[in-house]
Amino acid sequence: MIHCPKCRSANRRGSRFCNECGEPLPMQTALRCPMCGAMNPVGNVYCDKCRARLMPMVSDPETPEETQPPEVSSIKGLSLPTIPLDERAQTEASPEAGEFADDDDWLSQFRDGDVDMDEGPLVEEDDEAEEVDDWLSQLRDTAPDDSAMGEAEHPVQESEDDWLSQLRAPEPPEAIERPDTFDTDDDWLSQLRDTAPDDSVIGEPEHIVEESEDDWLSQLRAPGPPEAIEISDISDADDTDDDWLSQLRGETLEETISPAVPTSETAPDEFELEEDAIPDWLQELTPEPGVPGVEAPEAAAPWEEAALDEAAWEPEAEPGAVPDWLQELAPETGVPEPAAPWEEAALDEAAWEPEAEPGGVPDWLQELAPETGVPEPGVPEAPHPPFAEKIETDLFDETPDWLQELALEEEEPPILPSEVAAPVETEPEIEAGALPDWLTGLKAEVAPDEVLAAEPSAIETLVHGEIPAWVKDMQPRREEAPEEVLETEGLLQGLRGVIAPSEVIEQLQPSKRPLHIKADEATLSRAQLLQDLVMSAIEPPKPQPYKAQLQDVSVGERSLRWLIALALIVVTLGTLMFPALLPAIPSPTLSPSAPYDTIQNLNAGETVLLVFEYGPAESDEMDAIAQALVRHLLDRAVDLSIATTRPEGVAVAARLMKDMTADYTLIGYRPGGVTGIAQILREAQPTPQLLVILTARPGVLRWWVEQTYLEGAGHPPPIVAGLSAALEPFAGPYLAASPAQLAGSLIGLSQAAAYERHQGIEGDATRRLNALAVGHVMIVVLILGGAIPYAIVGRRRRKEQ
Amino acid sequence: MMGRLIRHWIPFLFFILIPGLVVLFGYLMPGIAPLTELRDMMVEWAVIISAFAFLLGLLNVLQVHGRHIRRRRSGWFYSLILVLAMLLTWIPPAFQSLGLDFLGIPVSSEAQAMLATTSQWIFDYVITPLGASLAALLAFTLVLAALRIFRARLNAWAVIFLVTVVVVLLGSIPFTTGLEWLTGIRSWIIDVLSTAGIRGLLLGVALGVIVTALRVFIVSEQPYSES
Repeated sequence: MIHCPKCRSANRRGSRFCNECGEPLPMQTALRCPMCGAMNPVGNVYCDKCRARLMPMVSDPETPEETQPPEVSSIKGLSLPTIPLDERAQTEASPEAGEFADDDDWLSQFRDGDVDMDEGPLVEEDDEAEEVDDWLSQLRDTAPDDSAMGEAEHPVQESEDDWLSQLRAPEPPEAIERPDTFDTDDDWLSQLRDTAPDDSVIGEPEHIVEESEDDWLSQLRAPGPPEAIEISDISDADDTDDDWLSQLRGETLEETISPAVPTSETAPDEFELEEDAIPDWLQELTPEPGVPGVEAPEAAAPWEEAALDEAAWEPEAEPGAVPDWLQELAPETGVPEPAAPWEEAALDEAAWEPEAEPGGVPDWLQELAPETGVPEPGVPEAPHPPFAEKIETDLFDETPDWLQELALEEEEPPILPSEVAAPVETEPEIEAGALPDWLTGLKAEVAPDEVLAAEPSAIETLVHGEIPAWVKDMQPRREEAPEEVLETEGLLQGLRGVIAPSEVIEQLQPSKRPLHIKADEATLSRAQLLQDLVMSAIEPPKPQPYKAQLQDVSVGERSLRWLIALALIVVTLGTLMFPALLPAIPSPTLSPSAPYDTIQNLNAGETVLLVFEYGPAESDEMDAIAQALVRHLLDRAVDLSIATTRPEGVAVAARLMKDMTADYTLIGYRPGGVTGIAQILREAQPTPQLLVILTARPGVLRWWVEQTYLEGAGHPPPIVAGLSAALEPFAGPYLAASPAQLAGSLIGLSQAAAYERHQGIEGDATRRLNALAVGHVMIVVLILGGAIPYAIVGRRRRKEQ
Repeated sequence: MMGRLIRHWIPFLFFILIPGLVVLFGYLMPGIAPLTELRDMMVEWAVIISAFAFLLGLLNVLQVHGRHIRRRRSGWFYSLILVLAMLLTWIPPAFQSLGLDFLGIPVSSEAQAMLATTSQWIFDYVITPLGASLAALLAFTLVLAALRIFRARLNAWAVIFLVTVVVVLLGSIPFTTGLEWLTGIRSWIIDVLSTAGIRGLLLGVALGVIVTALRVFIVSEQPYSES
């Protein structure tokens, strides 16, 4: 259910608007089932609809390499935009060779791993791929200018796009607008320089670099089919290429942009694409056998040789063939031009380009070579990429010189074209006519410490771009995934990275803002009590032991109770045991005398139904009343039939009749309440001439009266009731009715005594009358004697409160 | 649909509506002999069912308290006393009724007389005094409550209550001289005020019984249903 933020009403999940007030409801994250597509709550492990598992169960990895990040976010409660498995599979699947329908395909190839260059799981692997795809797609999507004669603003971009596009498609490469962010390009380029040479490519952890490297490398090594993407693209590109790549082949290296590539200036043999035609630098980059996915360089096939010859990384373009935009870049005087960030990035990208001839390295590029570690004479040193990572020392010796020269140091980020700061004052100004305006503006604020310049003066003239910190932060880093605890129990068993609830709870910081509330002590005490109640565990109240209950009673209360009990006991027992102590109370007069007259009118032998509807608790009072009536009935010599609807009624009747030593017919006990009464009345044969009901319950009296008149059907037998004093109000309506439904009633001990007096007999009723009277008087005295003081005390307490 | 028919409508029809209408019209039209006989038969069935319900309650009490004793729950000792008292009160009359002959056990006449009087003896000298004691305790509690009524509240109604109690108690005593007027006031209170209230109560009860029966007939109330 989703609760409306406005009216707090509950709405069905999935509702976009509140049903009560129309308020737009916040979208809630949910987990989409990969099987049926149903949306499930975030915490679900299994789909509510198809019971498919939403959270993958990750088994314990035997080796660190087996540890794979879960497909779904391992953070509990976090729901990333879900992608159906089919789509995801499609995106992650390696495209077939030759299918470059999507711009991301060529990159995804390397991502998924024909060439397994991974050295470990990357933190931002997928993100990097997406980022690379983004900028690559941007590169490809924009309308290109002529590769050679593109806009002046983006000559290098076009050069990059050219070789990239040549790799992929046969169309003339299009000038692609260079993205504002050069970091991604620079990253993989820099990464190319940093990785060890024995990696299959310029092996960097980043997939992007490796994949791009793998591309051209694989072209070189693999005796792949002609449909190999890279080779075909290259060859195709070569067919239509009239750009700087071909120009660069036969030209000097002055206009080349691949200074880092060791040329074959001193090693002409390196450019011979025979068995040993693979350049040294390329050979050095050949991975060791056994590295998965990497093939040892083999003898290049003729078409490969041609591709290699015509590859953009052969810095043999004649100066005249260099595109104008590139020529503009080349310093006239040979003074290395200050490398713009994008230019440096281009330089970085060109790091993996085939080496140019020694003589083909442009001066400006040579000047960019680092001062230290000049690898070989004539070998142009690639400008130090500003944001390439440092080459690992272990692999430093194995890397080619040009690659070593590209070793990164901790430098400031280059200045983006859009963020060009004020030029460094110390840098010498370049002739305005030599460089385009946009290039003149791209001057780094601070020159990098290490400049790959042949001459210090040339180095100083270079404008080193600074990579902003946020761009550097975006650079993929190989970070070891933190050790994630494996859940061993519960619903999340087998998952890693489950956030413990304690962590979340600990993050909740109490509000530090003081609450300005003015409350009196009573309010605070109530609040404290409420808090204690809430915080305390809910437990059933334990019954207090009897002694503990007694301790709660005050001494005065106990004394009062004892006083009342003693008073009543002494009075009643004393009166019963010693009747001579008190004057005899005269028996009351029986009024009305209807019950007596009714029984008196009976003839001998008539059937009388005597009903005992009281139990042992009422027997003390009712026995006296019953004795009076039964004695009179026995005196009339009627046939008694005894019945009851109470289980103990038979025992009560037996006890009474035993004392009376009378003969009677026992109908017995009939269960069912009203139905039992009806049954008794039906079974009583012959029809009784009188019905005597002895009861202490009003309901039983009512049932008997009702059933008697119902069964009688117009001629019901008269009813005489012997009732407890408490039923006196209940008998009044039946007695006052017209015609009266009760022929007479004997209510209470006093009327029983009067009945006995009327009979001239002194029975139990008469003997207990004195005790009854004294008891009543004592009760009245106790009530009045205690009520008045309690009234005074209670009034004082209420005043105090 | 079928389940509801079986679980609800058939029981209602054969165990509620038809028997109720037969008994009702049997009493309303006593001249129709078949209807009267059917009515009487159903009343007998109700009595038999009530007897078995009583037996069922007895067995349930044994089961519940037996479980308490077996699991030694709190108060299991009182459950043990109850079970023993039940068995002691029930077994001898049962043997008396069945007769020990069917067990093949020869019993003397004295033993048979003792078995016959055991339950009565328990009733006369154990149950009856205990019941009377409970009734007396009730009287004591009522006196204590009436004595402290002013401490809880001191208003007109409390005063009226107290005065009525005093008048009725004293009016029950047969005084020959001096306080006869008290007896008259008590009689007036009983005959007028109390009787009027009881009349209204009885009428309300009768109407409630009629309405409840009608509600059961029209399936508005289902005391037999689990829902």
